Amino acid sequence: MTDNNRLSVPYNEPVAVECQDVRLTVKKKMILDGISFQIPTGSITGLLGPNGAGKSSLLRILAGLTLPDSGSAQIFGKPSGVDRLGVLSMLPDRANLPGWLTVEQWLGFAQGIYPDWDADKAEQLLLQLSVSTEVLISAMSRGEEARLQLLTCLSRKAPLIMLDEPFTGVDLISRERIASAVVSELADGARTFLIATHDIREMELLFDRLILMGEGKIQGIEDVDTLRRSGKSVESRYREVFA
Amino acid sequence: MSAFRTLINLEYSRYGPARFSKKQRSLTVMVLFSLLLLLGMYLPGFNTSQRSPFITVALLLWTVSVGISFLHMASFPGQRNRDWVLTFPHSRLTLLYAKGASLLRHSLNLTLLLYIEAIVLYCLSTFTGRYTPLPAGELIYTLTAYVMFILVLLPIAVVFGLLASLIMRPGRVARVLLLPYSILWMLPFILIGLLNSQALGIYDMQYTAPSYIILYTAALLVVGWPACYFLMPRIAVNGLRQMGERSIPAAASSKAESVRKPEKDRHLSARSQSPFVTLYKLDSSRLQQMEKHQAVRILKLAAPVIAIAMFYFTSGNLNAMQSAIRLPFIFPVLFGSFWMLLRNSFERKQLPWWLGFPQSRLRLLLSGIAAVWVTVMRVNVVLGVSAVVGLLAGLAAGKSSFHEMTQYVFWLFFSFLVYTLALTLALGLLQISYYLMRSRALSLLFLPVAFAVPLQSNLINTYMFPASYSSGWHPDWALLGWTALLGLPFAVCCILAGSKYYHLVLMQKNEAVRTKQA
Amino acid sequence: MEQSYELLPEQFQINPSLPIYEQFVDAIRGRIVTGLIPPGSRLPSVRELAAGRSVNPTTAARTYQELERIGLIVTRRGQGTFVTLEEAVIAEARKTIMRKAVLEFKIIAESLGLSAEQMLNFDKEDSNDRQ
Repeated sequence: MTDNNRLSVPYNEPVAVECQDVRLTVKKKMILDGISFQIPTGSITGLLGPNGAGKSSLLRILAGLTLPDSGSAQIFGKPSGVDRLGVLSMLPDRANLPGWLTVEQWLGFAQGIYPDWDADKAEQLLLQLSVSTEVLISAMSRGEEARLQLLTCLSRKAPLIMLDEPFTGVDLISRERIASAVVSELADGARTFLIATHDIREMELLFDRLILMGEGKIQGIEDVDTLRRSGKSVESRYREVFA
Repeated sequence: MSAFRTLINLEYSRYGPARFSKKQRSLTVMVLFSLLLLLGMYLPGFNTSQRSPFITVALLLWTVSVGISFLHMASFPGQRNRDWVLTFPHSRLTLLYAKGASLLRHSLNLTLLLYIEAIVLYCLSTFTGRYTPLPAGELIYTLTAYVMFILVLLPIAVVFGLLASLIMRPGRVARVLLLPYSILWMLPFILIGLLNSQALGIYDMQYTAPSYIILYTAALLVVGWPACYFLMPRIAVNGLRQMGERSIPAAASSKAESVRKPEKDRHLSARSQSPFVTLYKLDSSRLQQMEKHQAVRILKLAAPVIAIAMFYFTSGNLNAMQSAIRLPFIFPVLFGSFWMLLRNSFERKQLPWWLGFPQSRLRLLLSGIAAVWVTVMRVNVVLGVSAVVGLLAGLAAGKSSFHEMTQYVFWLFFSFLVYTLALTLALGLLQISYYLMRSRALSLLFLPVAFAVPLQSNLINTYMFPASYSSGWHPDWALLGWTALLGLPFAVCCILAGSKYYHLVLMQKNEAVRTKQA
Repeated sequence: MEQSYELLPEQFQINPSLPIYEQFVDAIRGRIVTGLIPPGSRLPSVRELAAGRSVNPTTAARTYQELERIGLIVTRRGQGTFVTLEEAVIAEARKTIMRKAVLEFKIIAESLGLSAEQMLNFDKEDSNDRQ
């Protein structure tokens, strides 16, 4: 854990994600305005900010779905892009899995599509997240599908996991299940999580680092432990910055 | 390799037959088969010589394969599983090839059906003595030649459809390409008119003889396939990447516009008292959004010029004029009907909101129809006026006499009315679809309606216009009148019946779910 | 060994404004000292603790590190983490809790302008009155 204010990763610690002065303009509207940060391997970082802060755009750049206008985004030391999709597992915002398939069929496809698929892990997560296998995906409730999407992300061995709003429209029990599945994934320290959300309460105990984003800029990077030592919660810090 | 195969299977399952039960599948195939057979037998033009079934199938397959692949690519950016697909850890080219291969598989399924159909049609026609059978050797030669032609053509058709992702992209190149692209795609529909003309006798020309077909096949193989191979990486890089990015611009621009516009809109809605007018404005705002697309703008400027030129140049030639007066109104009417047919699948996400409006369902349907009708008619009026301008220019240039010119205008007016009626009937008839959603069996009845839509120009050519004109020809006003008299009340019934069951459109998805689980 | 106890009570509330591992350490120490978690019991793994409470695994790991530093728990390689069997350590932990409680008591007394003795005398009189 680093205690200095800039919270850059020490030289010897491997960096999972690094952005340097990333800028993105869409139709003359500034979406990302000089984003720079680092995420150390094994951390669980919350990317927090109000709607429209540019969180999704940032994650899309990291996943190689969008190209930044300028600046560099690196995943484990190499520029992000389509060829880095093998080392990251992304849960896109407001997207659906192929609705015409049953869960079982989808998992069969996923095994073929993702080279790093771990079928045992998928089995275990099916139980842990209580996802039933015979249902058509389009017939699932939002909470159920969110759990299946997370299952798809976590059943891969990819060392970086990015979740974009994993809780939108998800019921309380599903939220708790998702949070706890994320935790048990983290325990071995081999995975790095970057979670964009505006639902702070479910995740606040999970994060060890925060990146606060607003209006396309970084409004603060915090170490959660340091924050708590000074008597602040993630939520109170969030209010401080954005209210 | 196996990941590639999985990707193909995943893409294939998207529209795959496995989504329907065996019973539904065989029923659909049978209905489709007999329907096409009836069309082939009774629509003159499709089946006038030994080769015509095969030529027709080849042409039909081109449009349909391009269409399937085009629609897939065009709708892919809007699909909610897009981001998942795009984050699969495989290169864009692999994803694209998987898409292409799965679309090709669908086209091949269809080819199997249609080719058998063509053979059956050929057999039936020889039995009924429509034409004499070919000698066995030549028949086999013809069959093989056309099969090979189709098989070589299909991958090209699929890649051509995949180009949608480049064509639909905003940009100068795309704008220039859109017109030739859509003409190439719709070529068979344009050609059907020519094929039917017995004067030309294309079906019996030597250029459609099997030996020539083999030559074309070889040419496609040598030129078309390498072109496809060259195009695929470009579509993958430029098209698919663009799609990943598209969601943000769309969101941003709509946001930006909503910031700019509200003042004006509030003004409008405050003034318009009637909820129907408001609904109509809402429906047509969707179409206006499309009109803002730059490609459409170019087309709007180009179309009148093309119409003027066409009528100017053909005004000296009676035969050419016969074909010309049918042409201008076809495309807008076809577009309107297709839009009505496919609207619900484009707007699935908005439908629950629409149906939640505290308005009668009839009103909702009518406002939707009105929006499409007015848009199409606006285009057709412009085209008609341009045509008249072209004719007047022809008169001024001394290409036609005053008498001829008035006759042409008269015919043009008839054609205009015929297509107006066709549009009105098509928009009305299509509303029956909601009624037919009540059960699986009924929904199969929708197939003939759906088929009549793209084929309406053929129906019109067959029944509304004579096979050959003379300068003394008078339009058959009585037929038009009778069609209107019988058709319009029927269309109204369809709308009324449809409005009662409009809500079923929301149940569609769930129903598929239930049958799957059962 | 069967786990017939809870490491933390189910209704345990985390205060998100204070370091979480300290809250965990305090709570678990209290439960060991009072015997709710008997000596020699096997504790859940770091992963289980973290997943069960939806906290960062580092928090859980630090909780155990801290408890181990005090000597309340021992990690036996390959077997897991156990509550110590040494009475002396538990007694020492007991004293720590008492010291802390007394300290808080004194602080409150001071804020009221009273001494600890005055507070205790008040309690005696008060309970006599109530009877």
